[in-house]
Amino acid sequence: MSMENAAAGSPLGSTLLVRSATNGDGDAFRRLVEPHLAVALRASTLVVGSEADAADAVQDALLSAWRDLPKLREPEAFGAWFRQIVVRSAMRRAKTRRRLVALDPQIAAPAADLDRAVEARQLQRAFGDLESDDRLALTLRHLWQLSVREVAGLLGIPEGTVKSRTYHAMERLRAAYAAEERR
Amino acid sequence: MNDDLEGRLERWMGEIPVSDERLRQLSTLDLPPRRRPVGGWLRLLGAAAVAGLLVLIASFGLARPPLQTGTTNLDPTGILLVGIGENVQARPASEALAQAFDQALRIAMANPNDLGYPWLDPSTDELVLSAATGQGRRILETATFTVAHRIRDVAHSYAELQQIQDDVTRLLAAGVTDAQLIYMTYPDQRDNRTLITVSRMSRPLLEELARRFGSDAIAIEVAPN
Repeated sequence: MSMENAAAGSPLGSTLLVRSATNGDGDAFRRLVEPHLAVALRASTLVVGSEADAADAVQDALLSAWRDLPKLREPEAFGAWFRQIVVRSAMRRAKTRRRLVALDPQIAAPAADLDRAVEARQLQRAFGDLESDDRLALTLRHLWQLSVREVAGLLGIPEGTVKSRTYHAMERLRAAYAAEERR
Repeated sequence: MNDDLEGRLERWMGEIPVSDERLRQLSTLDLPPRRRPVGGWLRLLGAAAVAGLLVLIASFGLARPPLQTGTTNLDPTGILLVGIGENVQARPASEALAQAFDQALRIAMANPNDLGYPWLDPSTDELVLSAATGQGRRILETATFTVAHRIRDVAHSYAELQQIQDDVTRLLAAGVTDAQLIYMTYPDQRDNRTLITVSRMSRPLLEELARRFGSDAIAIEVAPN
């Protein structure tokens, strides 16, 4: 990890970078977001369905975060704030996403191990069959590892709704995955 | 095999490939200059100047030109031709616009037969709402948006355009000539059409697409593989 990333990863470093970025320092902003980019791109890919569209979603989120950073009242909450912008951007893309006639090669790339590759393909297809709201719920809980309370706060819905949405999304994934295994 | 699906899901999610090139592009993204907040009196002065300009335009009978639809680049079939990289989808310039666009999209999805695609006009930073029916216009007129917006009348509804996206995927199986050239479809929010990406131009294919879906419902983007 570079010095910059170490700085961005600590609350104090993050706060300093937010202040510099708020004052127009683009390099500070890039250092601030860098530790969040890989997971943001991965999460967007899961929600949107293709890495190309996911990259567009993350790019939109970056520009939005850069423009609205002066409105961030609590610099130490930058990570959660940026995550919310990424989620909204990815959902917007998911609702208007491109439909590929062929599988996105970025997602379809086989893993080295055959069993793992088969399992990954089955999960990919089952996950891809879910509605975008289901994909988002599972991504927030199982990739970002957010608590029910955090998801509720991020999506602006009651905790009970998060629990039921996540439960039903998981059930639908289970059914789709079982169907994939039988193919 | 279906046991511990959550564990496998988490492992799979954590291994979703992320290309280094895309990460590099994102981490070196060009950032636009941030707009400086304008002081109260200056904002009033600006508003007055804009209002005066609008009055001047109206008095000369120069109404604002209709929404850009790209209709200058029509194929002989009437299908709109869209250039590679032409931005036909909403790119919010602020989080406020992003939230307003989300709201408009949700309303369109809840009323798919009466509304078309919303869009964000980058030339005015306005949210553009699409009414496909009289009922759709009433829905939009009663909705509350916190950003500048306008309503346009469109020929095709959200449901129709989404249906075209579905139908296009079945053209190859239906034996349509040159359907194998189609490799992607997506919403053209700017023009309220379904955009179909083909790897090369084909006259028989365009004529068949126009015949099946109507030339004013679709747009074509030629992007060689």
